[in-house]
Amino acid sequence: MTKPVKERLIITPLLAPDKQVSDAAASVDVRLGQKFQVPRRTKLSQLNHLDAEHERNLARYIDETFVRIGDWFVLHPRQFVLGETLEWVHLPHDLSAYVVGRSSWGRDGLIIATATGVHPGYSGILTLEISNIGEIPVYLWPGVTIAQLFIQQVGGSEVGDRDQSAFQGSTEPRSANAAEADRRIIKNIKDSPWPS
Amino acid sequence: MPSLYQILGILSGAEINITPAELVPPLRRSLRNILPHAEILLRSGPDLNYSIDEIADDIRQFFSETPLATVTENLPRALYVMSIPSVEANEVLLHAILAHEAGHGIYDERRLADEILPKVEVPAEQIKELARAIASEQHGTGEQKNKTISFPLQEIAVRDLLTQVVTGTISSWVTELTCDVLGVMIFGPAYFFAFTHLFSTLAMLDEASQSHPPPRLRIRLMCSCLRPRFGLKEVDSRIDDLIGKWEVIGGEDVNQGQVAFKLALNSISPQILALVEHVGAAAIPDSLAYSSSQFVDDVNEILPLLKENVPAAEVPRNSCPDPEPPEMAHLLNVGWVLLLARFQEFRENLPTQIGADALASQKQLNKLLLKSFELAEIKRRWTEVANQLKG
Repeated sequence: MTKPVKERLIITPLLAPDKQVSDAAASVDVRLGQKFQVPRRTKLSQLNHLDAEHERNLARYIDETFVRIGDWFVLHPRQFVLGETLEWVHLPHDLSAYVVGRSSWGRDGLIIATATGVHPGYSGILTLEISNIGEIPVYLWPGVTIAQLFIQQVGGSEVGDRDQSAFQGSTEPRSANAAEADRRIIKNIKDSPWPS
Repeated sequence: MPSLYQILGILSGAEINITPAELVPPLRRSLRNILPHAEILLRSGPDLNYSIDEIADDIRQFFSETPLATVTENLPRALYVMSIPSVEANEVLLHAILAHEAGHGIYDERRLADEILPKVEVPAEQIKELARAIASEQHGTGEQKNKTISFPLQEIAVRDLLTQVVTGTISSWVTELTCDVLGVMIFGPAYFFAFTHLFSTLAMLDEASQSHPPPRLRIRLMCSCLRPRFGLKEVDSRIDDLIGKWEVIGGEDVNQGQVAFKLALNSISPQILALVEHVGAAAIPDSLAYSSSQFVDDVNEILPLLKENVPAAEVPRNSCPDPEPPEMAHLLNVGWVLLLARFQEFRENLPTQIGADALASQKQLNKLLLKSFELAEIKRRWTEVANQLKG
């Protein structure tokens, strides 16, 4: 009997299932999607996660670009963009995943993903942090296999538990405020009076 | 020069950066199924309105006597500029209205007017009486009488003007009504829901213009198309109830105060409405029309994915061993059912920070649908090209 959607591992669409999932490999190849967020040169002097204006600043700092499959995006040396996986990844409560760049891109000087953990219950596209640390520009073609997803079983979480991170449900690459939950404490910790 | 200005007007005021790119390929595919020689440009503009303009003819005409005339040979037979309101650009479900706009292309290309308009009776006697009354009123009495043109000529001028207004109104109304039927045939109930959502605040139900009939009349016609064609009860009793309520509203008399519109309204009799329905329905072959069985299958097969916040890029179908990418009409219909009848369940499945807020949840549904359009189209196109290369 088919499991309910909630309990299924879904990676969709798989454009070439035979090539992306092979018995010989312990991972699923994922492809580069069509949306990019490109940092812009602005008069913004810094990104500060403790700044109350951080999210507004991020919006001013980022340009969104849509590159259709068949077109390309050129990533210049020392340039950084946020990309996305073409595939939507839906993990049930008992699976987690890691995204790792494919070595063939790494050998060209491309770093694909740095924040690689995907929690049980996550449902969304995966944001890729792509940097070119090589010496020459690299063409990024949406649709190419760019990373691999290692999936592993986890225990302890229940059916219905969902990843509640800010990235849950992402339909495009996203930045977020890493200090949101702790901002007030961190900002006050130095100057708050010690208990007498 | 005026036609060049019109062509450039497509770009002027267009807000390309907020036109959802994901919408273009599936829309193009849907349209080309019905009008194989057409191409589309999608733009969003500041008007709270959907529209369609054919520009290939203008471009050909503009360049016809210039050295660039040969370039226009590469133009498609019809090039439609479809415009969506930029303020609603991300409200994907509303874009089901585009089926009506595509209907304008079909109406013109298939010359559907020729099948309907000759059968509409223009109320010549009523126009004559009205013209006489107006002329007589304007002619006045006593001294004034000698200063104005003679009475019969004035009456003829008024009658001519009235006839033009009434026939023009009838012709435009018949076009719009037929395009509504075509909209229902192409996108099914999704078009009706988008229409009622966008146009029919209660205050406007009886409001008409020379170009558009009163929404109440349009609702009446669309309900009459929907009921026999779609197993609404089978899909969801709440959807069936909702259509039932609109049927009641559409069935009430149109309260029309303007004389010319009243005359046009009288000409569009129940028989003419039935003819419009028949001609519109016959213009879309069964293989391309959205059907009742598709509606039922879509709700059973696509809705469970969307309800769990997963885009429907490929869907296991009963009829096919491999999962298939759904088409635009399928996704729009499921999206509307989810919004109108199953929204609470959808919200409960979203992460707490989104699901707790109705507007954020609706925004997420729109994003999910756009993602479904994008991924389903990539899957379809990829398979097509892979098969072409194999073959």
